Amino acid sequence: MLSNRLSHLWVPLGLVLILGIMAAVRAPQTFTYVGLAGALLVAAPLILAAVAITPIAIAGRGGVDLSIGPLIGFVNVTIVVWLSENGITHPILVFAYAILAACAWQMLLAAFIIFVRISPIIASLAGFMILQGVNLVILSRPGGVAPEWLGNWGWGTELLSPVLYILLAAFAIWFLFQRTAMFQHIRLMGADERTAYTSGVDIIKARFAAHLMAGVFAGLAALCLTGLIGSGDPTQGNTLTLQAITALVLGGTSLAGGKGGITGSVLGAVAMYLVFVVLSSFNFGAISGFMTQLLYGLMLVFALLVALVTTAPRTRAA
Amino acid sequence: MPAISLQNIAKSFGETRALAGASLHCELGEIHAIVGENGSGKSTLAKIISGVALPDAGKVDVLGHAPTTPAEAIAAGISTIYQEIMVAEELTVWENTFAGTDGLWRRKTTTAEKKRLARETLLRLAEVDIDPDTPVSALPLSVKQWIVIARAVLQKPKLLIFDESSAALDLEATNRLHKEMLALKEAGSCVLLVTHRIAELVKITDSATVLSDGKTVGRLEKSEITEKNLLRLMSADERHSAAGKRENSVISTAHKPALEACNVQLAANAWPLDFKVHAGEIVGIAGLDGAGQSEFVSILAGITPAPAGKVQVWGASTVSHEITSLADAEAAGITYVSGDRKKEGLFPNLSILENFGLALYDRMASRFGVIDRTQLSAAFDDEELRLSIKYGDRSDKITTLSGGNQQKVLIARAFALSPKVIILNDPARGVDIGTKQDLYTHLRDFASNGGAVVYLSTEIEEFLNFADRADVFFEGGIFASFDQGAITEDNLLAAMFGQTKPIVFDEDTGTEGVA
Amino acid sequence: MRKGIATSLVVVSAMLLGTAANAEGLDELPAELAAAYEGVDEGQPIKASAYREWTPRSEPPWKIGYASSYAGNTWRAEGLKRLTQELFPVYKDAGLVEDIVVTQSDLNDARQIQQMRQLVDQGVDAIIVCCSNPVALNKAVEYAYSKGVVVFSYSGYLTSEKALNASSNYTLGGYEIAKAMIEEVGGKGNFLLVSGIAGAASSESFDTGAKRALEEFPDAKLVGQVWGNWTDQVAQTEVQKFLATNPTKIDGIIAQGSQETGVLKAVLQSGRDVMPISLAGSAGAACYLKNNPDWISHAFQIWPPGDEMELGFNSVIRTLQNQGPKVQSILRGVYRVPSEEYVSGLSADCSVDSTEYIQPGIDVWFPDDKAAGYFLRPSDPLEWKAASN
Repeated sequence: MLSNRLSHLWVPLGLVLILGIMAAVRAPQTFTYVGLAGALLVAAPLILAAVAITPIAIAGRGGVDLSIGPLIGFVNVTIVVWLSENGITHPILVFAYAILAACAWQMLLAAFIIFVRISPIIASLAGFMILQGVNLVILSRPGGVAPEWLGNWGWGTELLSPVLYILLAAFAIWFLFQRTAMFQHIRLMGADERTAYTSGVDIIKARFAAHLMAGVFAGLAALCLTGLIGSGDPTQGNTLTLQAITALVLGGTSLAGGKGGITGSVLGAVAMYLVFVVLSSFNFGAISGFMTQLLYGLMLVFALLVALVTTAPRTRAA
Repeated sequence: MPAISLQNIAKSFGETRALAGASLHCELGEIHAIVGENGSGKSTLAKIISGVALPDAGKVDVLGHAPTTPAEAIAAGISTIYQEIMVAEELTVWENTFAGTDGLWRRKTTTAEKKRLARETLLRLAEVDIDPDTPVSALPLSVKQWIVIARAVLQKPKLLIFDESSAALDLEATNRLHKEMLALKEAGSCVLLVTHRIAELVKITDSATVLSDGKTVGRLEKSEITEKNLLRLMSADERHSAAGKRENSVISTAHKPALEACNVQLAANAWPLDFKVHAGEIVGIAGLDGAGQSEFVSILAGITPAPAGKVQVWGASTVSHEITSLADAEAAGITYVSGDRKKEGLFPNLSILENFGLALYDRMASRFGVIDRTQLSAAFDDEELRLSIKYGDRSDKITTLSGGNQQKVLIARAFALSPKVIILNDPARGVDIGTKQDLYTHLRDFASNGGAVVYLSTEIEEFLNFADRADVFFEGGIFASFDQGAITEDNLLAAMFGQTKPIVFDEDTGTEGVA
Repeated sequence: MRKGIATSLVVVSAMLLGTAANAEGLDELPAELAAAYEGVDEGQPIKASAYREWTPRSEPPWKIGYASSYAGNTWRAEGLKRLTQELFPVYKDAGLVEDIVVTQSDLNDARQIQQMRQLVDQGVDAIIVCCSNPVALNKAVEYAYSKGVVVFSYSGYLTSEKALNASSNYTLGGYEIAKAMIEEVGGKGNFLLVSGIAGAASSESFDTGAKRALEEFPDAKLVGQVWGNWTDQVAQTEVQKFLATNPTKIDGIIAQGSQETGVLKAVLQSGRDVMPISLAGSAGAACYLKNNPDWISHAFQIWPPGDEMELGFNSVIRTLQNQGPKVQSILRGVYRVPSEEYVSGLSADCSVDSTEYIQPGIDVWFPDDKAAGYFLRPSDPLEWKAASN
């Protein structure tokens, strides 16, 4: 029965294995100490972004947080412009700011979804556009410098790095969160909001909590992104949205809600990173970027097809 | 202290008035029933007590509270088993059983304990041993029903509301449930039963409130709760009686039937069904919700293929055509009209004319696929006149019409296809009495011109003076079949509950009494 | 105005500091070349380079990586074409370059960082990048440096001390182009600015310069700014939208390069009289100039795509050959051409729809003798090999 709950992980796990083998053959240096350190560094923002949108997707109503990318970008540019340039560089302050800022945005989004009754996709699409503009107003061009300690994460030559500890902390937070009753409430709400409501679950608080978790992870993702690029960039976050959603779906989390977890999202993000390592090892020239998109698309279709085939008999039985 | 005291409750959903002056009173330590026909407002009343629906007017006092959300109600000690089976299909048995029982963040019970209790309780209630980690979607309906019951019972409520209007439990299961209810009553709780299973009600309830058309029409104490009294109160109102002028028509059963079902099974091990409808005949289909009648008409209409057996039509010759799909049904001249307009049949964003014409586009299109608007309009004019549809402009959205007129448009669409057989699934739901009368007249005309009508209704009075035959479903099979003369409310109601021996067998639909 | 002064002060003080510390760097440049550094973007590093004495990790023929960040417009395509179809065969024949590996990151910094690290690990000797976030790639640059690989950014700069840059001075370019446009229409009037990509470094540099020029003319008014993404089709749509919703008379359009054909088409479609539009290398708009010689008197060449790529590639080879680049950034001044000269290469049957570029050619735009001034031990890169053999 445990296998049943984890069945959605087979597809991303298989993808990671296949791509991992391909990467090992095509780009063996990926699996050296430094290679892994670099991989961790580069993949961390995407992994955390994918983790961040997972609780929102689990909470149902087709909740895809499109604003996640610009939100990460927002925290990135504000760390650089509002904090770093004003001499506020203490790690505790920067960490607290990143997490609180991301949580504040998520609360705002949740409030719109709950009280104004806008569907999550529309609310977060509006959020995407708003933040995209705000980011450019705050920082019109890539630049500025991250606090030194944060910028130094970007070396990516040590495996036991702050980025690794952040990822581990994120997993620990998720593990603890998963053990709370609130996580059950969110799952129940995502699987069937009416059942949750009539069973006495406070669906308003549950939805807020899902977004709050998203905020924590988005803040961590922004820190990792800032560490990676060592500066502020008003547009870098934007591309994370689609990548994170792809990773989420590859990881078997259902956009219909109630199902999934971060393990899948992490595997999905790792699979995407590996695609890109494998592709970069070929000399596709100018088209390699498009090849990546194409492959992401194919992987997505493949993953969904496999998921469909593997879950179809069960649906029929019901 | 009274467990529940409701006074003059009114509640409307959009245009539909569900409750208008319903009152109810019951004490702790008793089992009280709300009785009434389908659509009499009893489920709405239950929802108001459990905080799901808020009354438009009236006074609510439930255990000293007036709950505005289910969470408030649960906190006050009110557990509800809703008419719809509220389970999250993707989640496991134990997760569903303990839905909403924990605190906001802290678990009140460990997962291991929840699993143990879920398994134990389901073993006791359902008498099946289920792995609590099984996803609910893999379980049969009856087990899902038990999960919902277990959820409510495990809360040890002071007030348990059980809306069993459509409960998917058999008799034996019902008995086990009654034991639970009696135990709760012994423990000083109040049980509120929303039901139309009269016999059982007689057995265990201490008092009953009878609803009709959203109003409380009577209250019966223990000694007064008899089948006779209940039926009298429930059908006291004569409002539906004259359902179209009825002339005795002679239907030639010597000919091949217009539509026939042979050995159709609704589920793998259900009773095989035989069913026939002849040209010129109106057959009523009745049954409690979930008795299989809805599934059966979908099979007849070719919407869902029959799991076993076959549905066929007879052409002019002796050649039969099997119906396994909608395309077959359409080719054979079978049309279907659903009473659940929102789900089936209506396109809320399209205009009245478009909603009417959708099914006709194929026929009214030229060789190049251009739709002949003039012809379409003319067809609409004909049907509009025939059914007296009231509307502003035919290009207005269909949703600007009242429910009754929306239904007329859908029926007009069906008629315009000039079908041989028309199958209606509770078409009169939410339709006013005038429209109903119109509808009966048109169907009668249709039948006298050689059409065959299969008419499923949740309101059995509809069949009086209207149907040529009424087949009553019970537990997935045709329990009884009544000919015109035998179609009475008492007979039908009794058969719906599987209570009385079948009175009349149609020679073609001989069915064993399923008890 | 204040910003202008501030920027000049930064440059001057940087130069003074350089002089005070040691004489390496800008001071070593011939005066003519040093002039191009005036008003340079304040972030652009112009100190002495880290490659004054440096030898690559392997002998020729070298393997060169091109970590392109984008491939979606004609400008990028033209640069790539020059690299792979013209430069590579010549240098391969000369025994200098063994292979060129191209990756592409779709404007995603994380990907570009990963690709650069991967290129280093795959054994390239030099990496060319183009026009990125000036800070984001720094750590990857230093990773490359630690492995003996040089990273060269063309048409844009990186702030890392270990990076080399070669480009035009975009701030100065924006300033000169805007100034020329304002003067073209008599020092006053309403102007529309067509920028590149919002948030992209070189686009913002250009705008900074252009706005500085606008401030110098009190009667010149900036009535609008649109972003054409350096892509004709985008620029055309954006300008069309602007013209359709703003009835104001526009006296001149200050446009960043690579999109002026789109801007011109939008104006033609709007039915307005064609006002002067900044020209910077697109053949379509140049063709219109050839047919209407009175339209505008001048044009600029700040970023001819192929020539700019060649400048970068050339510098990479020289660096690999230990010719010793003097400063971190090689800056090309603003190249202004009179109309007749600008269109002289176009045939009479040219088309306004052309998506080609008019390029002055590296010999005109950045001739060898000029390039030599930036290196401590200059020699013709193609002949260097022959000499050492």
